[in-house]
Order: sequence, then structure tokens, then C-alpha cells
Amino acid sequence: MTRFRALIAVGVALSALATGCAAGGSGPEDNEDTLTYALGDEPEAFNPALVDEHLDPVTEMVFRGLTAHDADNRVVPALAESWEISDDERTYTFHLREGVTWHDGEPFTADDVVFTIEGVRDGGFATSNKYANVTSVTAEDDTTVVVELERPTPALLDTLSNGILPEHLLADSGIDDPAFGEHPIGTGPFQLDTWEHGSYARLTAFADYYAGPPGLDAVTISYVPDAATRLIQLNNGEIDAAYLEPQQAGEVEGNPDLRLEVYPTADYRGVLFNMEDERFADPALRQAMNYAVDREAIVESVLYGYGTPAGGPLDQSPFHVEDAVDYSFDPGRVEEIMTEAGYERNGEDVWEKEGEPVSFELTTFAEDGVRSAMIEVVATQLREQGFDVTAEPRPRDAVDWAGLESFLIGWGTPYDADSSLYGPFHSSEALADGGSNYGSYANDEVDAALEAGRGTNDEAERAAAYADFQRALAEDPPYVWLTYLDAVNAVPANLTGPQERALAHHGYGFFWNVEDWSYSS
Amino acid sequence: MVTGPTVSVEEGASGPVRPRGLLAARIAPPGGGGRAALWTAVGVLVLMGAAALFAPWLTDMDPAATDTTATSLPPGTPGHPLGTDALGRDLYTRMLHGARSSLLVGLVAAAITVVAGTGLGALAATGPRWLDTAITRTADALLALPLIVVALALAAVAGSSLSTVVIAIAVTAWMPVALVARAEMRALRARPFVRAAYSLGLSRGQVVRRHLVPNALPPIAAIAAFEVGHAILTESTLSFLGLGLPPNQPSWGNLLTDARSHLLTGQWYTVAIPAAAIVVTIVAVNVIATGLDRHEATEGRTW
Repeated sequence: MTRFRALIAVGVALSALATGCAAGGSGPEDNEDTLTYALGDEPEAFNPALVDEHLDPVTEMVFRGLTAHDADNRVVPALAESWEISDDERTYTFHLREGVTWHDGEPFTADDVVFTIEGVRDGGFATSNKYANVTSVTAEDDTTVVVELERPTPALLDTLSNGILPEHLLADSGIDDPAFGEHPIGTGPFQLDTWEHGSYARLTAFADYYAGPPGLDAVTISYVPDAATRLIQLNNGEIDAAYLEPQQAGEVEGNPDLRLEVYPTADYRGVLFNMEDERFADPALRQAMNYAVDREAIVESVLYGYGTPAGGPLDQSPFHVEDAVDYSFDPGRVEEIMTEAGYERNGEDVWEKEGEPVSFELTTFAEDGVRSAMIEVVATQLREQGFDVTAEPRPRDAVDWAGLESFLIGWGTPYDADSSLYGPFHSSEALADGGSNYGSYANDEVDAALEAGRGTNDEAERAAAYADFQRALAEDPPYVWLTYLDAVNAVPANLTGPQERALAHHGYGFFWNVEDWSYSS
Repeated sequence: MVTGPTVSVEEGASGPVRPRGLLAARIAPPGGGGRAALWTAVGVLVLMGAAALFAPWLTDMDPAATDTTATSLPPGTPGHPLGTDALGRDLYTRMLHGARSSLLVGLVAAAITVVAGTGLGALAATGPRWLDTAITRTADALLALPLIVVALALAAVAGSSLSTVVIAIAVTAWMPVALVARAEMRALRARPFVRAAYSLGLSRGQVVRRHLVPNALPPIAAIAAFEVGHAILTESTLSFLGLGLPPNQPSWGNLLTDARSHLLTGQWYTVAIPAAAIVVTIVAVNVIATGLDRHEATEGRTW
């Protein structure tokens, strides 16, 4: 029997080795400029129609949209060379770039744009509401597209940075064709060669890319969910570059073959409250808690310094107003606000009102190590200020949005402000209505400001609307704002091209200018 | 493949089923050293048990309380004898409270395993043939599977909680106990004193309770000690893989999980301390198990 078990053990070990080799076999080949980059999350399909602007690296490299973003996240031309907007802001005329081809050699035309916009709008996807205001989209000729809108939609140019899809491949099977998601064909600088699920995706340079062939010959995206494994592989040379967790950055700093690229992101963390729960109804309580957390300490301990304190959802946006609110760690303010609101400390030094102590559970996704660590620190800080908070991380599948008390959530976009504000904070998007306002937060002033902000292209009017929005949030904070995260990536020391830009969730967007990357020696 | 595991526990073979993995590393002290080793092991376990039992009195800190002014301190720092983790939680406090979860799971799971295993073994030994076949074949089938896979599947389906972990351990560990109990009782069944008991008019149930189970206990006791070690190890493994106890409840396995991302970042002690506690406990348990085994072998049976 002992031998029998030993055989099992050997078998298991061998199969583990075999899979290890398969993953390692994707490494760079000689005399080719390749880059192997490891990260944790693997998407279910490479199809930009199914995701919002937070694109995974493969989708980002394979596809191109009508517009793109520059290093300051301003909209710049891509597949569209130029566009005109009518005076009533309801008609957009796009002039497409000529001579662009798909990875399979077919020409890119205005029909593809019409097909993509109509397909996403009518497809019933999570992304469909982005084009909900589009009443008609027509191809005037091969290189001219006219989009008619029901009402002004300032986020449209941002939305159009999402990849355009090929009509000639998808006209029959539909825009969400799963087979296409496996073998996508785009107009981007790299084309997908192979995708081994759970292991890696290999892309090669597309020589006919409209802006000229990219500097690298191939890029392999390796999916390694465990951060410690990524660091080991990076040090072994199995991979060239990787997305790192903050505590690992120090390990790379001394390595002469590697360089750290630390970019800010618009991805923030905050504590959401379930507003259906009467106990959280008083804005004073939520204001006080915003003064009870020491954001600098959270950044230093949980994020090892790779982050910045958050004061609201627009800190990284051009619409940010400095004077709306200044949340700093201030126990005195906590005492003052709570006492004014009629709370008293009870025998256990916990705030209470009418015999009801402020006691609740703070949860988050247990799989996310940074969030799990963050709720432990936030709970301790709040307990020290008299709020009886228990940290209780739960597996993603076990999170019951309607039943939870508070949750460490993450939102934020580096692109148009509207796309990450209307969903989480407008009362019409409440959880019960199927929206992403998971805390069912409702405030009339916030609603009005959000509607004004998305109703015009006029920068000054929008700025005023979002200033009102931020002041309304300061009066009635939906969250305890915590921190913005920095994205930490390690790349080969001799890789040139990566350029700083405020990135999206999970540090997505790191490959935004991948066509300009190359090795210097 | 199906016959493989049963061969060594056929009728009459009374030796305990040998454990695997880390548990297989038995310490066999030569000659008279056995007693000293045994008492050392007992001492270690008593100490661990006391630490777990009296955890709230041995430390005044909260195992969940973070301290952002005292993160990643090395062992020996004043106020933090074992240092702190990356969030400033005191490792000494977390180890004490972790011992509570780990030892509790170990003892409870082992107790369930042994009681259920003995019961199923007795049923198989004295029940109808179809029941015997059903129990032994189920045990064979489970023994043929890598148990960690079964435990992982269970934990993944039922979610992480203390009771899930205990059940997952019991479901995957009862087989050796049942097979040994069955073999022992079948051998006893043919002994004159058992036949005499039947002829005196005792029912089958009475014979099982008064004669078969008590006389089969010595070899089962030896396995029981191993089962404790197995249970502690499985709890640590499941927790390490994120499927054991909830992540904010300290256990030795959870402490290892927390420390995993720091494996290469110089804070070796966050990994070494819980790992050492697990190894020391398992070795102590194994020394005791080996001692029980030898004791039983040399002194023979009495009835």
C-alpha cells in the first residue's frame, strides 16, 4: 500500500511538472524581441463588446476604437482621423482613417463601425447602456460615419475608444459569438496567435498596423493568479515583466535587470453602507467615520506606500474640486460631529444613540488580499474611535449585496467621469432596480448634479455640475473614502516605451502605447 | 487498484494502517529512550493545549487588531515577543489564538473520525454481508483517491467554516480506523470467549458493546493519535489553500496563508513560526502514537 501511495505521489508530482513546463514553454525565443508579462486575472473572452473601458491587456492590444486616449487620458484620434460635432451636440460625423486592415487582411470600413455600435446597443449586454442614446448610426460612404443622438452624451467619444468589431466575421454569428471571443480579429498592433486557457495568450506583431509595425515582435501574456509565484518566475527569468502586489516592489528594486513602473490609477477603495439599513441613515454618522480613518496609515501599511489618500470619487479627474471637503484623520472632529448628532459613548466606549450602539460588520471579497487586509486595518481604526466594526471577509460568491451592512468597494475610471459616477451614485441605479448602486444611496442633489453632468458637452457646465456633485457628497457621504491604488509593474530594465498614465481597475491600461515599446540594446 | 489498499488489513492483520505524508515520519526512539521521548511529547502537547486554552489570559491583545505604527516588526521587539505581521498584528497573540482553532479542529475532527470509524468497523464486522461489502468498498474507493482533492471539493462546495473543515477531515479520514476495527473484531469474533458470550444468551449488540469494541480498542487508540496529527495537518492545508477556516479567524494554517505573499520578502518569521508550531505538534503526536503502538504490541491483550 505504501508503494501504491508513493506511485500516486509521483504521478501527481509528474503531472504538476508537466503543466509547469507547458506554461514555461511560452518563454521568449532567440533573436526575437518578445516580452512575457504575467498578471493574475484572465478574462472569459477577448471581446471588447462585452466589457467596458477596463480592458485586459490582450483585448487592449488586439483591438482599436475610433478614438484613443493620450498620456493625460484626453481623447485623441485612432481609427477615426477626425470628427465634427453639430451645434446641438446631437450629431457626430466621424471621418475614418483609410487603408486600415483587419488582422485577416480584409479592409476596415464604415460598415464595421455601424455594425459594432448597433450590435452593442441592441445586444442586451452590460455595456449596452453606453450607446442607449444613439438613435441612428449610418455609413455615408466607406470612410464616413454619422451618429445621431437622442440627447447630448459627453461620454460618447470615450465609449468609442472601445474596440470596433469586424462585420464580415460576425454578421451571421452575432457580436458576442463565443468562438470569436476565443480567436479575436481586430485592427490593433498585435494579433492573437494562441490562447491556452488558464496558462497564457501569445500575440505577434501585426505588420500592417495603421501606425506602422510595433517595436516588439511578440508579447506573451501569462496568467499566474498567485502573486508570490509571479515574483518567483520574475526572479528566475521565466517571465520578463509582471504585475506586482505592493509588498513585492521592494524585492525588485535591487534587481539590475528589472525596472519598476509605478503609475497612479483611478481605482479607489471606499466603505459602502447599505442605506436600506436605518442605522446608516444619519449623514453625520458617515461624515464622522470619514474623519475616523487614518488614510496615510492605510497607504503606508496595506499598500506599502503605493497609493494616495482618497477624498472622493473624482480625485484623479479634471473635474476634481479641492475645496469640497478635506477628510483628514481627526479624532476631535469625530467627537464633535457624533456628539452634535446626539450620540454618546456607552460603557464599552462605543457610540450609541437611544441605547442602540453603532455596531456593524464590514465585509469584502476574501480572494482580494489587499481588500481583506484593508478591512482589518479600517475596522481597527474605526473601533479605536468608538465604532464597533467587525471585519469579516467573504468569498466572492457568498457576498449578498442586499443583506450586507457595509462593504469595501472599488470604483473609478481614468476616462469620462460620468461612466463611473452615474451607476454607483444615482438613485435610479439602485440595487433593487438592477443597477450598480449597491448601497441604494439616494440623494436628490446628487441625482440632479449627475444628470446635469452627463447632459452637455460644455466643459464649464460639466465642471460646475460635478463641483455641485462633490459638495453634495461632502454633506451626505455615501462611502468612507479610503485610498487610490497605484499600479506596480516590473519590466525589463532595457525595455523602452512604457509611459505613465492614470490607469484603470487592476492596473488595466498598462499596454496603452504598446506599439511604441521596444528593447533599447 | 481496488484491492491494493485492503491487502494489508485483511482479517487477522491487526497492525494499524500506516499514515502518509508528514505523518509517516515516525520517531522510533531506541530502547529506553522511548519513555523520555514519550513524556517530552506529552509535555509539549500539554503546553500547546494550555497555551490554546488560556490564550485570552496569556495576552491582552486582540488577534484581529492592526497597528499601523508597528508593522512587520522582527521577533524580540519589546511588546511583541514574536514580532508583528505586515498589518501590525501581534504574532504571539495570533499564534495563541491560532492554536485554539487548530487544536480544537484537530481534536474534534479526530474524535469524530475515531468514533465514526469504530462504529462503521463494528457494523462491517458484525452486520450482514452486503453492509460489510458496502463499507469496505467505500473505504477502498476513498483510500484510492488523493484525499486532499476530496477535502478540497467538500470545502469548496460547503464554504469555509469550522464545521465544514471538521466534516471534510472526518469524511476523508475514517477509513483506516474502520478497516482496522473491522479486521480486529472479525478476528475476535472467532475467539472462545466471544462464542461463550453468545452461548450465554447475549444479543449481538451486547456482544459488540461488551466484548468486541473494548477488545479492539488498543490498535484503534494507536491510530487515533495519528488521526489527531492528520486532522491538524489537513486543517492547516485547507486553510492555507483558502478553503479552511474563514481568513480573519487565526489558525496556524491561516497564518501561513497570510504570510505566503511575504515568502520572498525577508519576513521569514511570519512563515517559520506557524510552520514550526505545526511540525512540533505533529511530531509530538506521532511520538505518542508510536509509544501507544509499542505499548500495545509488547504487553499483549487481557480479558
